[in-house]
Amino acid sequence: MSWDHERVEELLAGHVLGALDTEDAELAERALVEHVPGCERCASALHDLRSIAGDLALAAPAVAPSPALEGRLRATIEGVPLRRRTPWLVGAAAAAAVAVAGLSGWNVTLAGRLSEAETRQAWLADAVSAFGHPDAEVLQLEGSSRARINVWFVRGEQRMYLVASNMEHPGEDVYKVWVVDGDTAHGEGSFVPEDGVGMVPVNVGPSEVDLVMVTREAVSDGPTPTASPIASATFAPAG
Amino acid sequence: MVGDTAAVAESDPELVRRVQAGDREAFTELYRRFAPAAYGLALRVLRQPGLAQDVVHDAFAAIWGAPEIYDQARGAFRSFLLSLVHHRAVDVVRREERLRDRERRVNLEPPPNEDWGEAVFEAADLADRRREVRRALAELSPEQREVIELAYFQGYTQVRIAAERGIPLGTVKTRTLAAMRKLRSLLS
Repeated sequence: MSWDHERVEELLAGHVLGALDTEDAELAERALVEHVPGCERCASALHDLRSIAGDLALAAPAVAPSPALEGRLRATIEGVPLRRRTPWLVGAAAAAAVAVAGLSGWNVTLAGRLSEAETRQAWLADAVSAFGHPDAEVLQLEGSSRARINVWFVRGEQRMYLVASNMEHPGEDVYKVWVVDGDTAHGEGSFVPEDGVGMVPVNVGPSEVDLVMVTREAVSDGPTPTASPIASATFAPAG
Repeated sequence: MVGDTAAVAESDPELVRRVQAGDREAFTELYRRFAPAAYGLALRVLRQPGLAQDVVHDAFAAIWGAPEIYDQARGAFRSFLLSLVHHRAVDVVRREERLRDRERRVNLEPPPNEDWGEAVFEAADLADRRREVRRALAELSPEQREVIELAYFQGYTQVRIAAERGIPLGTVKTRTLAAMRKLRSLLS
């Protein structure tokens, strides 16, 4: 795809304001992955636009939050012992702590490797909150490869996160995430793993889909899967 | 969570480094330094103190739980934090149907009874920047200011702005980019 700098900057302006609708948001994401990292002009524009968006927050008056918020936050962080994370435990009793611990295993790599894709900053931050949710659940996709692919979700929420590790590099191909509702598959994003790691936000809730799967595809925007899934999992009903 | 005098004078990057090393006092200092700005922003977008506090809580908790999500090479911590708060606040406001009936203001003045923030103590550089941002916004044309206000502070998508204002989507995009470019030139 050929990218027009003016059009990309227009997308980026809407992106940093959080104002893009779904179609433009997907286009902006493609630009962030496919064009911006290699374009000095657009990368510079993105840097400046992000800075301006951060400054816009200062147009709102500063307001001291309730002192109770600091106490609440203190209670939260005391339950999350930084730098003493246990790798990928399985245990419902410590769901929130485990969730953050599970994240930390790949987050150092992921945050560094995906730094060019600016939207992932927001995804990551959002994902951290989701993973820290006391009701967070994780669904492991089964497949023949050595890849570990999990979907993190909270029932009732309209967003999930697919996190993949130990992924073989797909060469010129991409990995694509699909959600299947009945006999219809919807593409939810694609990724090329770096250091074997990839992450894709899935903008539907667990109650809306029957199955989630990952395929290897030649193009990122194909409307239907063209290959057998390398991994898949079925959502069990709540309860 | 006890701050100390020495910590108050520390730079943001130094505080962030300490937080990344697991220093709770540094985290407290960082919270106290930026919570009023973060909460003010969340309150402006959400207009409900409970939801706004949830957003601020989640943002700071995320930073404590995985401080690697902030990469200093990508800009100032303040910008990162406030972008995170904004992202979460917009996400919440779009989910909360009841908030869609809130007063739809189109100016950048604080809503009535919310102007108590000016009494909040802020570091001089932050207060100075706040004044600069407000001056810059005031220099935008009314049309440019409106698209920024609706998008950033009310969580409207550009499609919704176009529909509600009866203007083409392309015009919304053009105005947004023009506004951001003007702000860039005024604030750089």
